Amino acid sequence: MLELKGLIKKYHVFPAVNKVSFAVGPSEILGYLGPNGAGKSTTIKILAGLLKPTEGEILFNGRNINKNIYDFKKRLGYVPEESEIYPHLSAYDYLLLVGRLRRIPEDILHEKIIQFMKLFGLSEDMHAAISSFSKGMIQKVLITSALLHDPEILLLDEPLSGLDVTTGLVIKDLLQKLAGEGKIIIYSSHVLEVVEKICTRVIIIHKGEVVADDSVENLRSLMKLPSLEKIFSQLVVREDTRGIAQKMVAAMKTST
Amino acid sequence: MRIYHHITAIFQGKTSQVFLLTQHFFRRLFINDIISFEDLMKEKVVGLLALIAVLSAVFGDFLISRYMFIRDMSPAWVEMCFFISYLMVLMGILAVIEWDVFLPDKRDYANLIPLPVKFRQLLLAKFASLFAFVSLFAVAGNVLAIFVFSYYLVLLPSKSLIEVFRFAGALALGFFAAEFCAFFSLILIMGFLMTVFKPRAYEVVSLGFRALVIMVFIFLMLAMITSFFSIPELDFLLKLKANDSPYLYLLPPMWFVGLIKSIMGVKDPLFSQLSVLAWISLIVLALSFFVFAFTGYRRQLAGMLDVKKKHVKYFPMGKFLSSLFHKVFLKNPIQKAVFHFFRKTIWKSAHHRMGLALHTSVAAALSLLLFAYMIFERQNLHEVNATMLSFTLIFYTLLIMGAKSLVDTPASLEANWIFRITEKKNKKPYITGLKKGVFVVILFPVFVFFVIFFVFLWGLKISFLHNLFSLFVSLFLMEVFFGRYHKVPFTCPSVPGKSRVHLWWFFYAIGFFLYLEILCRLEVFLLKNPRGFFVFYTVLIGFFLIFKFLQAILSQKDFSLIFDEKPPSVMISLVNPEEE
Repeated sequence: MLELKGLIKKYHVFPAVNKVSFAVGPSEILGYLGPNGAGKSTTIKILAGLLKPTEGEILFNGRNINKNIYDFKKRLGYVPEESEIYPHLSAYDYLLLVGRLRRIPEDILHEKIIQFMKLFGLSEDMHAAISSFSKGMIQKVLITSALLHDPEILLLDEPLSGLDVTTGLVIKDLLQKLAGEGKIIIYSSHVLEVVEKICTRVIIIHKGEVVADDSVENLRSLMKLPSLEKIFSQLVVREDTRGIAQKMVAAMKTST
Repeated sequence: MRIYHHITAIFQGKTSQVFLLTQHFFRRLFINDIISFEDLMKEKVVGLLALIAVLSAVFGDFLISRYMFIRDMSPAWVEMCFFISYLMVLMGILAVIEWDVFLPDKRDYANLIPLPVKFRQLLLAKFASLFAFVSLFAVAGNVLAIFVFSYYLVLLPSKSLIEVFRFAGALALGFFAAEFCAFFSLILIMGFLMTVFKPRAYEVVSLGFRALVIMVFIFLMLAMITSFFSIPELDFLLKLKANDSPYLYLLPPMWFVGLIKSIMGVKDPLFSQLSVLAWISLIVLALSFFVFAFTGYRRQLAGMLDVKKKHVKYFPMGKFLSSLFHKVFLKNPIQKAVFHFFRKTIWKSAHHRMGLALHTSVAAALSLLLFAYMIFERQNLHEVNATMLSFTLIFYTLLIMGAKSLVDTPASLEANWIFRITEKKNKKPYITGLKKGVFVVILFPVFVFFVIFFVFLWGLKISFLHNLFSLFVSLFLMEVFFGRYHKVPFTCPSVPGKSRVHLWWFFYAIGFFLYLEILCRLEVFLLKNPRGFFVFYTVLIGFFLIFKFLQAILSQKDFSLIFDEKPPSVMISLVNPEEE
């Protein structure tokens, strides 16, 4: 069980994440939703140990992760939102680096990398520099790097970004399979349809605060709305989207 | 007509595309593979320009001030030629530094190609930005030096201001033409290589060529500095002229001496012919630049967004050796990860690869200078001597210093999260992996090279003893350099000015030469009395153990890896920053 208790992250005085608390258990896929700048990636980065919270604590199986952060990191797989990866390395070299840092035995590691690259259709390109890769190819490398060590917790920040439809479907099936095996999965995304299909529970965050936390079915019946998109619009979208679109068209047509 | 259109557009406040692109490319010239001016760009550039101006003026003054006491100014063209050589070498170094910036950048490609910008506009903007860049550095190199030359050669003897202005104008034109020629000849060679080689082969050839050019230029620069004290030897140029030697036509700096003399109205057939050569060289260079740059640049652009497929073949013998190496030398997976990350980054990151080549070139140039000195002094190369012994130490020391500065230069800082989320409690393997990387990737190839070199020169026994001595001393030096290094290589922002080279460079240089002198003299003694090596190694191991013992006592036991180093504060405040 992974628990966040009263998590606050302030940049100067502005709180990016404000008193966020929730718990995720094994076999659960938690959809973490919110508009741009809501604090999704900040929460994920705090969980990955990349940012330190201003206040609050994170517990894993009842113990504060900071008591033995290295042990927690061992159990973690992380796919960042941005394609932040060493561009001068090849995909193979990068995955070797990650595997070795994760202390995966060498012979198993080589085999795993080759298998993953084959499954992702990157066998031909795995020795080319990542700088020449497309966004989707980089995303496949990042997903592989998060899965190599068979982690207990998966933190996925927009994992399908740039992926083709087939790979997207594969990843969705994979996540359901991994949840079936008892993994804890936190899935942060903007793509509501995907979250609606695969997540067992959804948290909607707005301006750093949790505004909804329940299963999609419960949210639908509670709010009497047919889809997650409608629920999201009700809770988070305050603007007149049609009006903004109309103004944009007008701005395009303004002669300069 | 088009140029007129561009100029009028600028004056009318309409910024033309070429002008905008020139501005863009000009800014990018200050961010390159060798020196990055990205941080505090203006301050660094102004500092560098001031340094070049002062150095050139001092150099010019040293060369020409003797004419204060000599009435006959006619042989002053010799010093002028020497000064022009210096300016050309300076511009050559600049061209090599800027070499990579001429290449199309992937970001440029992605941003500029979809825009309605013509290819010839891109090329024209590239040329204009390079021209502006050369002009900037040329002005810095020339401005004070022209004053110095005019003062000693015209103002003091004639006291005529009109003559001074005429002379200064001729010098300015001649110096600038020489600098332009040096800069664009190298850029032209790059254009030629770009046209001939495919993008991947070009990377390798260009690196080798740049390292070679840097070595030659640094050698020339050092040779010029050392010949400060032997000016009379420059008289060989006077002898060549007296004998009407055709060799004078082969010296490019002489072409521009001819140009200056012709502008000054000196009626000498040699100078007139040399001046014609100067003009021809400038026209040929500018034209060839466009021809080669057009073809080469287009070729590089075409291959820009290709995914470079690469098939790696594993040979059974290689596989066996690799697994043996890993089993014996790199058992720990963290060590393995850091070792290979260091190895791959040094070879595959253009900036780091160039940095290593630069340090190797400096070491090679310094050794070459000492070698030239030995030849000049007619010393016996087959006899063991301190000068030759110093070569290995020069290489090891400069490369260890280079490695230290390179690992402090980050590679894709935003990607370092992978080291942060996988950080382990025991930090030693990270540091050991790095040291092993420095040893295998940098020091060992130097060791092999010098073993072979000295076997041919002095035989197997001396070569073995000498190389072992240098290697052990350098391993100890590496321990000292990386003793308190608590980082994963290339993952921490670089904090400029930590070693305060601008303040301490003189003491660093003295220390370096003292270190070489003492160790080489000691080694000469030990080679004459080989039993002494046992004592030496015992003492060295003793020092090493004491060093390790002190390190264990003084350093923190449970340190964290540093991923975010803050620069030391420039001002010391009485207010506690935490309270602010």
